[in-house]
Amino acid sequence: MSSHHNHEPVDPTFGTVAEFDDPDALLSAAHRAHEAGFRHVEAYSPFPIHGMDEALKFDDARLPWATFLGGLGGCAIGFLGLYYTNVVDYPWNVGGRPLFSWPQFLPITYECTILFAALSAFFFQFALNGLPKPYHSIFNTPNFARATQDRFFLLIEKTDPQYDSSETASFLSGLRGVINVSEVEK
Amino acid sequence: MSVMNQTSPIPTFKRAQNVGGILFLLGVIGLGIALISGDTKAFFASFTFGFVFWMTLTLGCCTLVYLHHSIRATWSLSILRIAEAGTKALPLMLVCWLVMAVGMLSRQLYMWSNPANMAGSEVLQRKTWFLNPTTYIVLSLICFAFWILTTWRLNESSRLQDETRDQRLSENRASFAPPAGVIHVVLLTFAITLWVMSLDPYWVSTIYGVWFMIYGLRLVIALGIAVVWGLRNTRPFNELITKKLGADVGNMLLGLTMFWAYVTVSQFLIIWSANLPEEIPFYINRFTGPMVYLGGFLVIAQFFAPFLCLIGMRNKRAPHIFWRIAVWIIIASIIDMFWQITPFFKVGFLSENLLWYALDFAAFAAIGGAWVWVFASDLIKTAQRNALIPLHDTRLVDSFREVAEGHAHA
Repeated sequence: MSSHHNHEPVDPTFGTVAEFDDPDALLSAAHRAHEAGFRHVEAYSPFPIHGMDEALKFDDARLPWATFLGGLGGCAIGFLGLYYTNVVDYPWNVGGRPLFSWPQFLPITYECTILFAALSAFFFQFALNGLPKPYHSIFNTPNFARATQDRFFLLIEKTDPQYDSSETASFLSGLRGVINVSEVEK
Repeated sequence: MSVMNQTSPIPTFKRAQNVGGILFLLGVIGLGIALISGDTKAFFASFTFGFVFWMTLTLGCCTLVYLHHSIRATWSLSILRIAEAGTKALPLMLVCWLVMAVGMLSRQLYMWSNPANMAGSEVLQRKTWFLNPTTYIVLSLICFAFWILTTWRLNESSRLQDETRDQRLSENRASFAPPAGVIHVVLLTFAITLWVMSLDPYWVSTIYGVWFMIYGLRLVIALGIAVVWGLRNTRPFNELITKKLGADVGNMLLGLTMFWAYVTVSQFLIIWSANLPEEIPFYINRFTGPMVYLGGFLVIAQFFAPFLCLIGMRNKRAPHIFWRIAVWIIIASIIDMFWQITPFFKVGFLSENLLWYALDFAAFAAIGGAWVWVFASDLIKTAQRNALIPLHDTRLVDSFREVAEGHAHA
């Protein structure tokens, strides 16, 4: 407990969330939130929506690059591993072929590329997302279980410089296709 | 350029028609000189290169037509009219095939067409039930009849629906196209086996038909992108291209590029590992002389370059870059077919064969010029009735308007 807590109570508000029932409404809502000047905006949807990255101005390229570099690393490990085992560590004459028979190395090099790219994508997104995360405030949103089924949510966080409890709520209520707007606690 | 020219694609199609006509004339002159000089064997060899390239593109158009009406995807809707225009070249390709048949009957094109060649080898003796003139002619005619009739039926139904807007027509196509597509794959495999693989009657590769199908489908998607995205400032294409559509069609091109590489490498790897005397000459002939460098260049030009260009989102969403990637793929594919076909007839890149290689390009230009002329003529007709995007299926235009309105609201 910080002493801070005794003087002014921690603000319990996490942000304001709008609920939609179709992906296009969420997409245009995300566009309009950015146009209105909101910057701490997040969207939740059961499936990827084309153009959402752009609507949210999400241009973080760390994950694609980590995946690409992971793939390159896997490619090198696969190829050099085969070179080491076939040419250096255990040279063995197979059908009179040269020891360094690189065409034969291609399938395993390829598999290693895929494997390492996939694993680095998986673990890097884990790290970037700060997982595992047993608690997240967004789950306090009413009806949020349906974010994995048929509902679409737009969050404007309290941390947004332009956030104002009642004005943000009325902005979200005015969006096309909105079903419900609620203030969510931390 | 006047404002009219900028908004209608017809002047561009007319220019393509003219270029096609000139190429056709130049090619025919080149082929004529070869025939007069009496080297008919070289003539048929070069003609095969031109025939196989343009036939594979035409078959790619057929594949896309069957595919589109089976899956009714929005991405394929954007290039459907391009593929349909390509299928209109089937009668032209039938005429070109007649030249191939003459080459076969006069025993100048296929080693197996001469019984004396077959008699000496037990392996070839056992193949005569398939490699004979009757099978070649009957099977080819069945293939052409099937392709011409089925694509004609689908194209006509699609055109009729533009006028009547009768929804039952598209349901009818959706039940007709899938079985037609399955039969098409079988016939295509037979045709490629007879026309191309049997150029070396000892050689076999079970994946060869698939290679040509993937190559053709990838080529027609690249051609569609080159036309639609290349003419992005003309109507109706300017009301079609969104970032989403670019990403969708670009992902198909990327997927087929990977599939092309997969099939190409698999065939090489299996033959290389087995190291059998009747299989490896195919690659030895293509690794002799400068052809091995051309092959190495193709690994980069056909796979790594387009793969790296298409893997990210940016290039697929930028029309002025996207269509250039498609043009690159078309050029690389032509070189790829050259590497694939010409070593059946002449090994190495010897200086005494230089005229012969020139003849290859004459044949390529003659058939290609006629092909482009037919293709552009059909597109002009389609453009004149304002149907370069199918009128009966408005999903693409709707999604374009939604995006445009979404931005306007935002």
